[in-house]
Amino acid sequence: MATGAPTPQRQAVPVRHRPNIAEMTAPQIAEFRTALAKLQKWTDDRGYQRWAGVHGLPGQMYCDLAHGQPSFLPWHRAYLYRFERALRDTGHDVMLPWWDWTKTREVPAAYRETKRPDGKPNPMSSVRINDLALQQGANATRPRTRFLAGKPDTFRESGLPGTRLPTHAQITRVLGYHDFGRFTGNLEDYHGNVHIWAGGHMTDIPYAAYDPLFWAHHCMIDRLWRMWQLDNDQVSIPASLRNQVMEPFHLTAGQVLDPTTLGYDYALSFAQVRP
Amino acid sequence: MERFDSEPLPLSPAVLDGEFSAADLVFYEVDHSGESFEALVFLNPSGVGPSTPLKLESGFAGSFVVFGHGGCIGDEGHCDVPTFHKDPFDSRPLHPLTPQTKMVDIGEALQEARKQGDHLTVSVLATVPGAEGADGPDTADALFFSAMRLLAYD
Repeated sequence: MATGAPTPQRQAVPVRHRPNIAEMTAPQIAEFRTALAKLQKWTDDRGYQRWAGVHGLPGQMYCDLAHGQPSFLPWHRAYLYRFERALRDTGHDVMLPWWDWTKTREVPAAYRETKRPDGKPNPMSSVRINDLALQQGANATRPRTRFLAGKPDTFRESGLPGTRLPTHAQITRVLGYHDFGRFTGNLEDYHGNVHIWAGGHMTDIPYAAYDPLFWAHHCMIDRLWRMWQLDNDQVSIPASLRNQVMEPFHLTAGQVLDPTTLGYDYALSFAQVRP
Repeated sequence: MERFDSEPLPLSPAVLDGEFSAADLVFYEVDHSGESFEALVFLNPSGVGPSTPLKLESGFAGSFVVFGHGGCIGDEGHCDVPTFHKDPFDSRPLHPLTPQTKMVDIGEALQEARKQGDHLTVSVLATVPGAEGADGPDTADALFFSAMRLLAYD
């Protein structure tokens, strides 16, 4: 049994909720930043560089197992889950926020600000990419990857001419599809629009996940899948996909179908007190 | 290629009569090994370019997006997709750069385009964000696919 499931055996473990970044309070953002900064300082296989690197460089480009394929949604759900667990391993009770780009039509302020209120660097703004990933990218056959490999700190160029954020109407239309293949294919394309709109390292698979904005964007995608699942039977994915292993996360697609068995769900906002 | 202009596709009687509930353009074996781009799809266009308004009146039907692999960082042959017949005992996943299938929902645009005649032409324009220092979208030599199919559903 995965963590967080409100079963009789584990009643004391509540499902936690991922909030909308636009609704988070200043203290909530501050705690999230503290956790993220700690994760970014870890240089071993628990740290930010390891998890960002899973998506692209250095090395495996595991996400190639997921883009343009039916496994797009379950692979990224498993990815977010493992990253979130690593983030919580810092000792902070935080969850990944989601960025609703159909409503917040700019990079959220929490990700734009280069400094925190106390003057420290904002870990949600930019990340220094490790040398190995940069070295590998410098040898890529494509000029765009080589160009980005020359920029060790992630940057964005959001909203360049010719780029677009998906609209509420477009997403509403996609949520209305009842066939999983049609739903995931169209949603993946809109997901790509956001990557291209954000610009900079977000446009390039080898480096996209180093940008902290990546996680908020993908939480939005995962949330949309969750919404679609609630309207279209939760297990309506191809049977052939159900047992497919989402490498390197040690989870099958079937195991990530229900977010509550992974210990999370989505909410607009949250407030909590302790006795 | 930067753009694709199709030969005229014949429209079936049902499509000409508007008797369909949805329609897709399906692009087969789309290459995704290079840079990220958006492929803008126009129906019965005349003189489209990167600055053409993305509106139904311009023939704009939708788009698909390739989140590109970004080129190869391996040795020679590392990113070559095997073309030989796969051994039935080989249970490894497909090569990561196996071309993709893309679908564009063109139902609304096709309802307009069918009124213009019994054939349909399609233009696909690959665009990338303005390059460093550029002030507008650019076209990209990134668009490669093996076939395009029009599907209408009742």
